[in-house]
Amino acid sequence: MTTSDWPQADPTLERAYKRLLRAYPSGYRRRHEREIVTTLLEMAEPGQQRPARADVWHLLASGVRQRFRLPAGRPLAWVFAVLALLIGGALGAAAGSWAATRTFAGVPDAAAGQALQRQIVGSPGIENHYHADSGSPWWDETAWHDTQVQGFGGWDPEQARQNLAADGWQLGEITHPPGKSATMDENGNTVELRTESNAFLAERDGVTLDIQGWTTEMYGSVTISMYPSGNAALLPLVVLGMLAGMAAGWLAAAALIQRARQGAPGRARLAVALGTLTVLALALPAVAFYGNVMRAFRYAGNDDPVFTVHSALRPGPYWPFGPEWLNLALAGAGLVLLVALVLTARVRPAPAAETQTVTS
Amino acid sequence: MQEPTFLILTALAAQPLHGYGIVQSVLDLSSGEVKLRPGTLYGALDRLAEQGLIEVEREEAVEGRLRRYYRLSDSGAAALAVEADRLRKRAAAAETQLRLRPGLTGA
Repeated sequence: MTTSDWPQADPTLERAYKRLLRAYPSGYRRRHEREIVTTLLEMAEPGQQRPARADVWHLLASGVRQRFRLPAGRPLAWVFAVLALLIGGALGAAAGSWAATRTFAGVPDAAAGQALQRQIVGSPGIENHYHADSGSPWWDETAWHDTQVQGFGGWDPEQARQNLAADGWQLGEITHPPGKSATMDENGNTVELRTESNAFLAERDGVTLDIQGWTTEMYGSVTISMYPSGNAALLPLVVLGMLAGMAAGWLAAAALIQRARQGAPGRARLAVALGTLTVLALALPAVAFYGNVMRAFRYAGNDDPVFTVHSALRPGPYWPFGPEWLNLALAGAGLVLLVALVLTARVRPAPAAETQTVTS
Repeated sequence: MQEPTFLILTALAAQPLHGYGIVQSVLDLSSGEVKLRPGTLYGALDRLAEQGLIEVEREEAVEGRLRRYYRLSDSGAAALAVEADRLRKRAAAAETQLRLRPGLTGA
């Protein structure tokens, strides 16, 4: 055989085809690039200098499809890929949630809380305290300011509303939550006390205040809960993050499976073991993230602190079992295992078949 | 079995072929109806090799070009025979039904 029947093509066309083949996974390119380019050049029209538009789209689509493709007849690969898709979706939703909260207003700090206390209560009261709350497995940081006041005259909710309205706060309706107060007389009998309750919401600049006052004849307290109001970015970013995470999870699984198959059997077994451990470690945090996705949708727009997805990593009683840092520890362990899995699967395969060199 | 797969296996039944040879053979076998594009062709070849239906017979390389010749494996030949038999029975059934069609005098 001679080189005369081999395709001779414009170098520009060949370079263009090679650029298009970058849409394919690297391992696939290593195995097939020269072969596909040869076929493409053989199929090219004489004198052709650039790929036809239809071929461009076809190669790009084929490359992307190849990236999603799993090896045929390997049911375990499908199981692994589906689990990776679900876990990727959960991690993506958490990332989207975290990104959205970067656009939220900050929680008022102690100085701002003190200023609000003066505006709302009008005096320092008997005593008052600012408390920062690091959040929960369901929502982010909040803060509240407590003031102990003296009896019915200790707090005037109408005056508080006027002060806030004058400062540009949007006020909700005033309500009177049901509740009772009681004390004990000298005989040890419980005596119910007349109780006044007043509550309302105020919102400004992305911050919500939940103000509640409880007073009796002798004492009372006013609590100002402060938290970001949230915005319209949260749910779309959660959904986008989830979809992107699902795609990334599947793509990563497909790439890892293909690489593991190309490697030595020992490394493939190690990759399977690491993949299994990674899935096991990330399964519980992923379930927690999906639980928070449902909460984020269910409670969207209510008057409580905004439910976020990524907060499942915050230590707290998310599960009725295990330590409070279980989700965080498992997620950390899962990511470490994932890095080990990627490093294990990175081994490049040896050249495959023997190649006969054609002489001219 | 999809038509491109069937035609690729058919093209390889008689002799080993490289990529462009398969494209040309499939075009002939389908009377010009099926022109395989490289993305489709190599996706199918990869899948068929994974399934053990085809094998790489040899490679030829010159000046950065590579031709990889594929041949039908024994299991590929068996799968093709089964598919050909299935299609033959389908075609026979269709012809039988057409002959029963009212108003036709038969072929």
